Amino acid sequence: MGFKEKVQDKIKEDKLRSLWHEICESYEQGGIAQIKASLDSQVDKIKKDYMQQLEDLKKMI
Amino acid sequence: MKSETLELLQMLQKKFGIKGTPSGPFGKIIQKLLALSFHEMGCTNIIERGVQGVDIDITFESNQKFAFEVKTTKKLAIHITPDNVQSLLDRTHDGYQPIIAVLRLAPFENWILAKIPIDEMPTGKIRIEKLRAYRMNYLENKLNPKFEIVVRKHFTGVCNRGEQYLKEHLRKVGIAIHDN
Amino acid sequence: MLKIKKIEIEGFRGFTQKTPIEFENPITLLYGGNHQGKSSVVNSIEWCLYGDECIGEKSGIRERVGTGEMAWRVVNDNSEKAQVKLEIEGESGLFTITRAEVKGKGKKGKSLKVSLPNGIEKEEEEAEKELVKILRVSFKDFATTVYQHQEAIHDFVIQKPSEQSDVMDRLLGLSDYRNILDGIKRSDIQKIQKEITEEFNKFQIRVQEAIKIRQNDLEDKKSKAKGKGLDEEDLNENKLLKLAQSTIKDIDNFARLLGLKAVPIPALSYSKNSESFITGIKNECNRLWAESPDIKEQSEKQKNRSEIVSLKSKFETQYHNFKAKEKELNDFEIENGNKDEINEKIRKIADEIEAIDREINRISPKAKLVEEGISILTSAAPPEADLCPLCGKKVPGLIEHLQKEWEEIIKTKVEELNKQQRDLNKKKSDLERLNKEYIRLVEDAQREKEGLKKAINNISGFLRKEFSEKDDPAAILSVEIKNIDLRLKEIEDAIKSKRATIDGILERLDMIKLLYEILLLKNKLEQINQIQSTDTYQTQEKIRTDVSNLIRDVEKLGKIIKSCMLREAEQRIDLTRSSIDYYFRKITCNSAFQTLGIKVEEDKKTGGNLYIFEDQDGKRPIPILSQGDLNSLALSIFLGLAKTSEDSHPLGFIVMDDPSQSLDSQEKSRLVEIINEIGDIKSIIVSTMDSELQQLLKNGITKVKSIYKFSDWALTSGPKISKET
Repeated sequence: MGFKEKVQDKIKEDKLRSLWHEICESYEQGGIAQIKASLDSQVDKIKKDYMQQLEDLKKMI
Repeated sequence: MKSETLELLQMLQKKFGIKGTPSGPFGKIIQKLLALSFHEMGCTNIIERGVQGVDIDITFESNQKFAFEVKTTKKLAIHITPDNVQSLLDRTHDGYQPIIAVLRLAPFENWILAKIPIDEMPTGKIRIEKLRAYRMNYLENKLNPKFEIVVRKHFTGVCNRGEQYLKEHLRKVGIAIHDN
Repeated sequence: MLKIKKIEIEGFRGFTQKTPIEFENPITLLYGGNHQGKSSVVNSIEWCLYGDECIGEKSGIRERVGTGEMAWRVVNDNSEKAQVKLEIEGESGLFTITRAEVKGKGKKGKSLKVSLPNGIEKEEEEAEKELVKILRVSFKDFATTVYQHQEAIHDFVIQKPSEQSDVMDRLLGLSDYRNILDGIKRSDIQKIQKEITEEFNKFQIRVQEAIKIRQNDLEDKKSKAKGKGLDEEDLNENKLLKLAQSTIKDIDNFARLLGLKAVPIPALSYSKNSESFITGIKNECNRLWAESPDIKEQSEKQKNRSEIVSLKSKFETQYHNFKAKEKELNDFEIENGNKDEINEKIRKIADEIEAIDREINRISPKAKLVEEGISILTSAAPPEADLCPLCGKKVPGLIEHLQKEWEEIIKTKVEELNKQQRDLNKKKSDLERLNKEYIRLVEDAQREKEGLKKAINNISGFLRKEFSEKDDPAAILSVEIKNIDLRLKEIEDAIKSKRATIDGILERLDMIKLLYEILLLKNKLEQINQIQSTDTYQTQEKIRTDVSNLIRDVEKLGKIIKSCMLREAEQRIDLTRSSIDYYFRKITCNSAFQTLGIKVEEDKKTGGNLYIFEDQDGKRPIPILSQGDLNSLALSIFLGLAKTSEDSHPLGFIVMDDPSQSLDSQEKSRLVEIINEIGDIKSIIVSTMDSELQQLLKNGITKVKSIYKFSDWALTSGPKISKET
């Protein structure tokens, strides 16, 4: 059983499981750098969305 | 919370807060106001502790028991000590679910009630934001409006007589106070 | 299991010419002195498999860190291009990996080709990806579990416990876990929560400031409102509308008071229309005021008065001027007489002058005669000087007589007459000048009189009244002014009460404006309070919660990964412990060590693995081991793991580069025995300059071996390699 399966075995939550799959896929595609890139792109999108909401809130004051 | 409520709390903090004392009078006042709010919500078996042990115990709907470690701050982080964790752990043996209750004194902030599994309970400086993942929205939605009412109702009394006023009132409504 | 079958090296480091080396046997020995190209063979395997990863800072090998002249060179100094072709055999067949680099071309000069067992060839980026899939070992792992590079093992024995743990994890084949944890750690996922929180905190500060400013403004306005008689309970929309309603009534009443009709102003039904309402009322007030009869009359009367004052002033000025001129003329006449008198004087003088002229004319011929006679006689000779030039009679002393006559009578008389004439002429001129003066005065007086007449006509025209000679226009105008002033006072008194009414209305408008501003502020504060219930706010809350959840999930996952990593480390150590112990004690044969134990536990700080070495008494031996012992320990770990690493990666070979450092002969001999044992499970490539080890390997290895001797390395030709049978 490879490391992927060993970790998956220990995961009980679906959300965590899909996160793990996502990370493994990134790792297989491009190693450490790809994991970082994949997570960072999620983070960038979150940040962009958030800043937009904040700008809209600022207009209200 | 509303800006008016925040203003009242800030006035109380100015009067009763002591720098460098984590559990100064202001912190205890907030704790007691929280206990009163639980009472307003209809919780039972409310115990409020001034010194050793968890800060507040309650029994909520469907006999759910919760033990609260209460933190009040203006900053973005709180400190959870190993003693806090131990106190919460001790209550779990009696069937209480451990909750970190945090109130940040800033616009739009409300009580955050974070139910963190005891084995995951962190210690040290914890960013309040991290607690969001553990929020008990149902309980918070019940608590926050009551807290606003309680603050406005008791502001003058607290302003004039401080903790003593609240102690009397807590006893009056049947909330047990453990100060030793 | 992947095993190296063959390598072809050209232009790479110590090699110039294309040189093939076979690895067909379980053991391959590369031996020779320093700088003969042995390490280049080993490096070529690395480089072919990993390219630039094995060079520079990322490699983790200090000797390969450097730039420019200090850079670890790939291309041989005498070659333009380096190329390494590696054949690796696995279960699915033969893979061929060809990597090349052209000197001085940078990235463009680098190439990679991977041929798969099924005949498919991949190049460049595709080839790199394929290679990652085939090897499934990072370079770092390769450098510690496949290629026993001195430096990597050396780091293990001298570095801090946390870094030793890093190497141990890799040695145990846990690098996937570590890499994933590393990838997660490097991402910005932990930062985002902090950034979002800080941004929201800044927003909260702004909100607090906005609330404070508005609250202060509200308090200020409430205080002003109280001064105007508005209590706290009056500060609402109803009160404002009521005030507006009564203002409209007041305007109507005011218009009636003025005898005018007010323009209908729509009632104020919403406070938000207050500004336009206030403007409308103000405009109507101004209009009514301007059209008020009293105001109109006041304005007219004031205008009249100004006009009258001006006329009076002009009249008085003109009168004054006329009188002054008249006096001047009178004074002149008194002093000099009038025109006729002056003319008379002039005439008399003219007559006198004429008389004198006649006299002079009468005297002049005689004077001329006498003068001439004197001249003749003066120029004549003495006897003739006494002869009269007219009758010729001799008169003694005639010249003297004539001269006397000339001097005393003629000259004197004529001079006197001339003087008289001059005086009279002067007098005449003076009188003529006075005459002119007189004329001018008369004209001036006339002009002023005309002016006065005109002023009187203007007054007459203005008052529409004819004046008689008895009338005093100035006095009449003064009476007019007095009457107007009286009337203006009456009007002013009437206006005062009306002004109070309009001031009252304007005051009410101020109250309405103030109340409106208070309501706006209250509304704004309420809006700020309501921000929490807006969709936008809820969305940002959700984003923050999602971020929190994501971080929590990532942390949970991290813990699971670390827990799996720990369990696997325990399992592998369980499998390897005895081998490591065995190899270490076998190589060192140190009586102080009966056992060398390794255990792993969770590092409280990092959550990762912490490896602890203990002897039979539970003491930590590393601080007291000699260099040879440490190297033996490093070798033991490497070999122990090599023996048990089948599951961790597919590479079925190990490379040992100068493994015998600091080992004595006995230890070398024991090392060779171990290498022989391991040769059962993995192919081994040993590179050494140690002739003692070389002999021991030749004689002590029972497996089939290939022995390559490296010698006579030259710049142009590279090493000379001979294969021993």
